[in-house]
Amino acid sequence: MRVANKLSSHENPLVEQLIQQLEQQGIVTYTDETPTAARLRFLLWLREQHITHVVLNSVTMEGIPHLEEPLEELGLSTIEPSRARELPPTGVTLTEADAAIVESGTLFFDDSSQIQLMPLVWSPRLFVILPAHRIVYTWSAWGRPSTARSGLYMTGLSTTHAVGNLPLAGHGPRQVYVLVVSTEEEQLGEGRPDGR
Amino acid sequence: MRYRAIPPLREAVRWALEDKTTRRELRTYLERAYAAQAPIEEALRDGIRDARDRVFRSFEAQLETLQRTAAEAGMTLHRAESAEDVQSVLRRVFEQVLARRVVTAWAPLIDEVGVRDVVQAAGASLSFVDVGGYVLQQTQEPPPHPTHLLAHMSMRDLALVLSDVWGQEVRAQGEPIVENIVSRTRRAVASADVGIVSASFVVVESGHPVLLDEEGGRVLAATLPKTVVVLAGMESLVATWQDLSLMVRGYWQGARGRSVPPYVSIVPGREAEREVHLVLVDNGRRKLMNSPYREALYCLHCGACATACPLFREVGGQVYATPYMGPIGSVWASVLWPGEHKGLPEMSVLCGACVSACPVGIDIPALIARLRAEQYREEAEEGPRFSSAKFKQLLRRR
Repeated sequence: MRVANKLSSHENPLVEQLIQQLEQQGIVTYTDETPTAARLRFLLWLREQHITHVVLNSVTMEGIPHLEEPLEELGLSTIEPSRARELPPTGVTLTEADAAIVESGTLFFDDSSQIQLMPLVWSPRLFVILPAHRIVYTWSAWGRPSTARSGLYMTGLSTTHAVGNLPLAGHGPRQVYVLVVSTEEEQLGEGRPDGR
Repeated sequence: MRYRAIPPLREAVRWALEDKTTRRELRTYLERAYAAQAPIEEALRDGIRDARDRVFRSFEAQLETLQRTAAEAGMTLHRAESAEDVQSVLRRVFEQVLARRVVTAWAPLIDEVGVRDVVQAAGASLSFVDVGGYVLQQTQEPPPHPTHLLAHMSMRDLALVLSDVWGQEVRAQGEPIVENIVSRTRRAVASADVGIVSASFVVVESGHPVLLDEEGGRVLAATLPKTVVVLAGMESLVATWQDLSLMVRGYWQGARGRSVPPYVSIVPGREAEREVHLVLVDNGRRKLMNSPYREALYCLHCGACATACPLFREVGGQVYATPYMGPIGSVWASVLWPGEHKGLPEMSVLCGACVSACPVGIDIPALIARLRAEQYREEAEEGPRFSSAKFKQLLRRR
């Protein structure tokens, strides 16, 4: 592991490569240098997208803390994750990823960190906060925690090839946004392609 | 297990060959899917074989470990020797929760153990949440391929079927059709009492079933209802998380030519208001394991061999009359349900395309050749294939 202070893609090849992978999969990405900037960006995004309801799917979020109050100030309704079924088309689920694996552009959500899996697939939009130090290059670098935990690995957008072998949107969110944010303890994951 | 609606093999093949429109659709679809198949790296194939070897060499120990880990992961584990055992578990679950609405997603195991029959007998409704499963439920036919469930239908056919079912005109356009199906199936899953899904793998070291899904419906069926039943064939066991990553890549490369599916869901166990049953299904698999056809049990059910098979691309999987179709399916069906699927080993030209496509490198032609030899031997013991008069007639024609 090595500590990195910069998120800008030319100084952090892990972030750059992850963003490339995610964007190829149709996911919209952002990067921010601090949790405060990330919070501002998210609040702005909510207004631009005319979002009315938010499912806060992570109890504590390292990458974008203290959100409840500003959401209330914006007049947005927050919905419990277990009631995500009630989310209208103008809603979004906000969640934090527990890992991102660069080589396949995969996000991992660990449900033992009080994330519920259902809103990740049910919501019309999904906004994912990804603390940069949780990015690893390879699956083998990610490995798997020795403790038994369930969760969801998400790679790209939900698709069906059932009709005419054409890729068409399935059950999952039509729009997925990933905001990579630098946190105080930011570190780069192991398994970098340059071997550092 | 045999689909009742399908006629005997020879007749079914003749019908399939005569139905030129469906045949063209199927061939076009599967040729496109075949072109998208990427070659399987040798290292990946070796890794998967090694992982399979390890599990089946120590199978009893794996089962013992799973007994413990599944309980720790919050699963209620059931061991089902037969399809009837699975049905009895399902009946008990339905009675306990007074199930009225059940959701599922198509998988060979769902049909193998007769989920539809049990749900119907319980007086509950069954909805398929995957696009392919939903359409097949309306047309009441088996799928033409293990992982391309609507490969035989043109967009126009699909629109006609759905117009009839929904009682409104449906235009032959993929996007609105899928949107409409997704919206209907989401309503079904949101109100379901029980979700029944088939796990692609079960990780022994942690006791978690794993679902592979591209649409997301399977994940919803395993997370939204308060009672979830996960069915898993004995062949789905993988020893470790490290092995799982190989299996997932192998399966998806075989099924879709890509390395990772959009969703890999590690099914969570029991929670406050949620019950999860894991049903480990034998139903003849142990017999397969202890037979000369043991290698067939290494199958990941990705369907790559079916896509690669030139004969399969002409006639499709419905003629097999079993949920395990294609080259490896003919081995499974012949060994698991002998007598029900006698001609299936003939459904191959032994060209070897299936071996190249298989992410495990199973020598399917060798297994098929062995089955044929066995069947010929049995037939010889039963008596000559031709009467002497017929034989003389044939000789005269030469």
